[in-house]
Amino acid sequence: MHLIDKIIIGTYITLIFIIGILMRKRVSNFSEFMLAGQGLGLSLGVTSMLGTELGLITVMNFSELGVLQFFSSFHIGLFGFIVTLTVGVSGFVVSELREMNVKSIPEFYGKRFDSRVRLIGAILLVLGGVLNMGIFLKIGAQFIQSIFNFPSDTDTLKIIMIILLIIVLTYTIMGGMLSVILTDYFQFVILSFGLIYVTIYSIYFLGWNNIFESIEVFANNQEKSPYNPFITKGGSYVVWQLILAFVSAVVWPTAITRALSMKDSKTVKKQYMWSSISFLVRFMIPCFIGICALVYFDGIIINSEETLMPEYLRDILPIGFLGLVTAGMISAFMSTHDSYLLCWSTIITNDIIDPLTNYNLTSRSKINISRIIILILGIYILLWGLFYDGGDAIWDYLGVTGAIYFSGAITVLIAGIYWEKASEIGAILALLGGLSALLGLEPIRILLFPNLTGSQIGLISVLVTIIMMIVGSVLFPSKRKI
Amino acid sequence: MTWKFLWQIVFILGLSLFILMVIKFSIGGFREIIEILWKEND
Repeated sequence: MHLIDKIIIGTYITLIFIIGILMRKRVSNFSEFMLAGQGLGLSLGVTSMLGTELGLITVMNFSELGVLQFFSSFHIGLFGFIVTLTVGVSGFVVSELREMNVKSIPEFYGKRFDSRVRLIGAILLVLGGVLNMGIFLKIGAQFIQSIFNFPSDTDTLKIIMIILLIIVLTYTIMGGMLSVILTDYFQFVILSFGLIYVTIYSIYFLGWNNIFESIEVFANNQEKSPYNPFITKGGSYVVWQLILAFVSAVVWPTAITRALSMKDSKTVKKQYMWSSISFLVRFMIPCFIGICALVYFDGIIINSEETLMPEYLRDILPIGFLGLVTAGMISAFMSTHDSYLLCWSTIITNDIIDPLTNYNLTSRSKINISRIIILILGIYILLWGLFYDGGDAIWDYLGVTGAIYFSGAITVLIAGIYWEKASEIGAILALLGGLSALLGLEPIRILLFPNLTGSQIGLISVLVTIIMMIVGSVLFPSKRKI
Repeated sequence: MTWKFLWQIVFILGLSLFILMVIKFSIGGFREIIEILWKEND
């Protein structure tokens, strides 16, 4: 990498670091720390949504999907667009949550049901979410190692992970949500520019028709369909992606935290309508770059499907632009990490520790507890990064841990808002029913259900939570009046 | 309509909308940041 590229990246990281730290003075209470005082305007709401939801892990993962599934992987982006746009137009779930003025999904459980549902919901959410983010740091560090062409030994990887983590931890601990939102803005600008530039440059460099023709040849050689997802992955996989699109826009805590930070429910709807474009490109553009990498290397995987994209970028991008694009990718890494760290730590404080201490904590103590938890989470993800060996089973494990939370949360959220008869017992059973997603873990699945795929078990798990909610609510109706 | 044509249309429309969105919210976001910093100075 040329010196100019390195200077661009260094300047950018320093700028983000300074902005984050400067926001420290603005944090006066816990609501400011957790949700930026719930007074965000549309533009920062939209930029922050993209900054959070388009992480480096997403870019790496979906460029790999582009390499493996070709253009048929675009259906995931299309679903993200349709689902998020529908939510934006109708205000389904998100408007109601914002109007209730809650700070988190577990807080909604507490208001709608009772403190038991809130506690169980918060524990499952944190369990699924924290396990889910364990892998992010190492994947981000691998990208940087690959694009800078650093030595591929583990010591270098460890140093990169520690430096990245210190930067993110420092500004997240100090400035809370406001520093996350402001740094998200700059990350949005750099990241978007990087993605648009790489996409247009790839089309110019490889040729529009050549990209499609080459992929058709590769797919034909592998006896796969380059375009039809039903043939490539099957119907249950496609339906499962539709549910995941709803989860990532509405149920996943980092996304809903963005909605709850907005100044009112009308702005939330507009935020979702605009963010539907973000949810399209967050999947489609990384898939496209992965496809272009495959075409560039003539269908040959040099090291792994995962690192094909950074190797491609390193090869084709001119001096200066490689620095900008890399800064964009580092942005993707930082903006996801800061949001995740803040989200889980404030939910642990707000929905687990505060209820357990009978709501006696002052705003200042809640901020300090959240800061300590951010630090602990930072150490946890560093340890994960050091010991994770990159096996596919662990990817599977992380996917399943996410499903432990969201399988139950989808049902409890929707039923809690739109079904008057939903009861506390029904909600608890549905949340616990989400644990059935554990059956999707590869060793368990192969042992018990060798004929079912992970997506099919995911769908069954959601169905189980719906049945649990209905049965629990009918047999044990709520005594509270809504 | 073939799958290939569908993905080409989705890609071109998606990219065009994304470019418009980036321009709109880069400017709008900058204005909101200035407002936040202005409030802090008050």
